[in-house]
Amino acid sequence: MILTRLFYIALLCISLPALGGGQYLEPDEFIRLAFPEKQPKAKAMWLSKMDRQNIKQILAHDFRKLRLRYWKQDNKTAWILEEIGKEKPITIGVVINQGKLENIKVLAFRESRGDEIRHEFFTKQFLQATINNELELDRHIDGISGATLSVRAITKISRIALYLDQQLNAKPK
Amino acid sequence: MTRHKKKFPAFLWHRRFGLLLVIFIMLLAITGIMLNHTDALKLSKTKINNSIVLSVYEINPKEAPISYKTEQHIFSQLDEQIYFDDKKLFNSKQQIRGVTNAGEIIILVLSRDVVLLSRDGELIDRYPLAQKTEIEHVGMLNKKAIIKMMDQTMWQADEDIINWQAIDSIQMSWAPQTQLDEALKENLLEQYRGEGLPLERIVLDIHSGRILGNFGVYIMDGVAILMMFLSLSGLWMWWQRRLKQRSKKRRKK
Repeated sequence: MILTRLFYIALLCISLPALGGGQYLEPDEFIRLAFPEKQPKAKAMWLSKMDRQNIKQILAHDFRKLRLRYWKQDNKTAWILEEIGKEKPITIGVVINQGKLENIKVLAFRESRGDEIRHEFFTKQFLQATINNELELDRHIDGISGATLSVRAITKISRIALYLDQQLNAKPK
Repeated sequence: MTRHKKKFPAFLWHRRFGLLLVIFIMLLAITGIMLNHTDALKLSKTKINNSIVLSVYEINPKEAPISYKTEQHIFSQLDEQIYFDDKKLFNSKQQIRGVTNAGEIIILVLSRDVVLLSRDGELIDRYPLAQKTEIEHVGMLNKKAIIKMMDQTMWQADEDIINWQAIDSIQMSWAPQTQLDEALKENLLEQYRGEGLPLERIVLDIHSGRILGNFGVYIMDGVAILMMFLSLSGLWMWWQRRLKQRSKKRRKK
């Protein structure tokens, strides 16, 4: 009887890490929260060769998309982007207002470890961040032990969103 | 009852196990010799592409290919691998639900995602559409892409295929599945399987019994134990016979 109980407890402990991932916020809901008054329609930003090169440089791996979806109202843009953490893509929503990062949320986390990056104690480090000419954030982001790759992924996404917002505003209307 | 069984029960079991192990001993000896000369026999360089052998290793696709055709191109899925004509596009656990042309853009619809491609198969965009239910079909009506979901709701894309708006149900034709021609099917299967399985791996797995999974390993463990028994029982019989011959000689003297 005791052995059976111990077996089930061990089984529970083994399966615990698999409970890490999940869908935390639907993309539609994220856009509604980003633009509470009136939700704008999604638009497409076609990426130039240079845009793709810069994104590739930030990601440090290949980037194949030719366009990206975004939502824009006045000076505020919202982006839903994905980057691989360790093996699976993490979906991250980023809101940029007047060139500064206003909000960043993990919408879906599919890895078994590292989902601590979705918590506010971590994401608040990104608030009001901007990027410099080297496409680096203007600040240091403290990591989380055991979530290094996820931290790296969310940092890259924040840089890409800031870069895209910058490019969008720089483009002639 | 034989004379041997009465006097030497070890001989009876030695004979029984010996007969039982003939095939295994031959198999182990042949594969062992082959493995000892891997380089000379070029075992690691010889690739096996036999479909039965590859199925044992689960290298063959588990499901039949799914294919959809546009005017110029054919999209196929072999398990999690998605192909654009004979070129691999990407891996996806989602299933292809249809393909249609929208001007210069090809709309490839998976069970949850919409994938937009150029006519050359270059990825333009990919985004999730379905959240609570899966996509069932995609089709074109009056130059507008329309998607039907599993819950029977229908959605129409805008000109840039970015925003999808719910519409009333309408009767229309959907992108139909198509059959792959044999040449392309064989080409995709070759790509799926890669360059094949090295013969060395197969010989090694026959030698260890792993070709039959864990069960095969236990069989080979049993064979090894029986071979130890055979060597000891052989030694025992030889010793018994020797003692008997000595006592016979003494009695004669």
